[in-house]
Amino acid sequence: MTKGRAVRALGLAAVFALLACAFSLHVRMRELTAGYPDEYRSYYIPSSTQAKAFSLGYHNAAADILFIWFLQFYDWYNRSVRYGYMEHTFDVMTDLDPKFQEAYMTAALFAFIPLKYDYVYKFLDKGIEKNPDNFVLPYDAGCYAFFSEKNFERAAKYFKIAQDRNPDKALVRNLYAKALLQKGDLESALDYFRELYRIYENDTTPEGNYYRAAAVRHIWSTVNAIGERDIGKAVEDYRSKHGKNPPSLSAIKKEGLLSVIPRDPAGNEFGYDPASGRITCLTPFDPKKAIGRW
Amino acid sequence: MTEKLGALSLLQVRAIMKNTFKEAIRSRIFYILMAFAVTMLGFAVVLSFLTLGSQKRVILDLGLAGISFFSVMTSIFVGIGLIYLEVEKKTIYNVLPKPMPRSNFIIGRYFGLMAVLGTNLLAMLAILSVLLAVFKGFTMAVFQAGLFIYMELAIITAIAIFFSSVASPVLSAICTVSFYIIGHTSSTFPDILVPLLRSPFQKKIATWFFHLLPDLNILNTSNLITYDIPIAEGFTLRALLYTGVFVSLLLLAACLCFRKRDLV
Repeated sequence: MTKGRAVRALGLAAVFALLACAFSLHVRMRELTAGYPDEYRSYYIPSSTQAKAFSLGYHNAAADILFIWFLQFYDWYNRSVRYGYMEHTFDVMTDLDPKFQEAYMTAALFAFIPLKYDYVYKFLDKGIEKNPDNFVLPYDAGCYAFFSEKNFERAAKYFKIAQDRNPDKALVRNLYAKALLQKGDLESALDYFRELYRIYENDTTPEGNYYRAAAVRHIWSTVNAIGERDIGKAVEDYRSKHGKNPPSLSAIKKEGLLSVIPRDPAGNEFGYDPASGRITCLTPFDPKKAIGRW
Repeated sequence: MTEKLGALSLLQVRAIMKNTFKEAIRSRIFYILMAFAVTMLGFAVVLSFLTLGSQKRVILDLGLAGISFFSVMTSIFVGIGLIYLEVEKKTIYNVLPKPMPRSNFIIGRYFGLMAVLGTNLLAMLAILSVLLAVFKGFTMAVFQAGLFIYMELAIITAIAIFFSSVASPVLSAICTVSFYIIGHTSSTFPDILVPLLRSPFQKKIATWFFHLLPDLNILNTSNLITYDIPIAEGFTLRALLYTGVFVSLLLLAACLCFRKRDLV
């Protein structure tokens, strides 16, 4: 072997040896750091203004990268530092790209997992404010309030925004009316269900059939609820005046507590039990017969 | 007589431009950066699988950002050597003794590199369009963004050529990259710097300075394309003029510096 070849072989061997050293050192270092708690890591995301400057004008691309990191980081449920940095990360992401719908919705979803509703609404409120034409964000917020928090007042507020932004969306109109119904605004709910019925009255598509049937059922129950509420109140007034329940519904009318005794959606009188003062609808619900009778 | 001189100048510029094109297209750094850009486009597709419900926008955003960034890098690293290396290798002595103004050499070099960058940009936009088409997210607006990227490249290349005509490649690279960063961060002046200043006079000076610096961010329309936001009426024409003004200014400065330069 010539001297030159020997030097080359030695050099090559040294390179491989150094690579092997680096490899084994890295493996060992990884093992040593694996047991560290999450808190030791210092995550740093600059302020929104700085992030805008650092992204050199590629705000959307920077928001995308931050969003991908956000998804990977917050997808790890066992992290003890999971929520400490969430608001800031969300703010930077959505300041970089205020139209980033998925970012608002995902941040709200991550805040919803531990039921941090204040964050859910905070995140979605920012999106609603920054995107005045977007109906998905208020709809999303309304769904959290309606289905999970059961805060129907709040749900109605969000569904109203969504409906104003997209009046043609039957799903939103239906949920808005349901939220109104749940929060006790029966008359407004009835108006919306009637409107929904009118929109789909002659629509024979599967969607049309669904919303028409939903509207019919809700109109039936809402008209009943309004009747039962009004008669119930009159019964209560009668009781407080006379110390006993009225003997019949006509007694309420005679007393002047109600000018007209409400009827059920089929046009029949409500059932009344003088002993308990309970009012019930006696007509069974039949969607085919009921359509168009109110 | 003037017409003949004009035609001759045009022929000279065209000849230099053609040579620059050939030279740059053979440059190794050009292919290395192009490979990086194509890798970046592939990487955008990989990253898009990690996102949630925004796959197309990730490909579009990162694709356009990657194309713009690597095109700028190409313009800087090819541009900085265009004049200086000619002087260093003494190949310029084959050109300058000919009856030709030195400014034609600078202008020819500039347009030659712009032709290379245009070809490069079109190739990368075509790749991005194919990727977007595969993911059913293709939009013609990609080429509109390409036009604005090209305007940015025109300014950056002019800066690189200017520095190349007066300084060494390393210094030119540092200065051009600095200009690139300033150009992309100057739009934050009103948000960051101006509020820090106390006197209204200082604020006014800072605001004037802000308007004088090349604002490359304003030429970046990639962010609008993601949401199909139309570019403001009359903006494209003004952007072209804005680019033209800066390019003329920088090329004029480069020509003046190069005219006075002692090459012996």
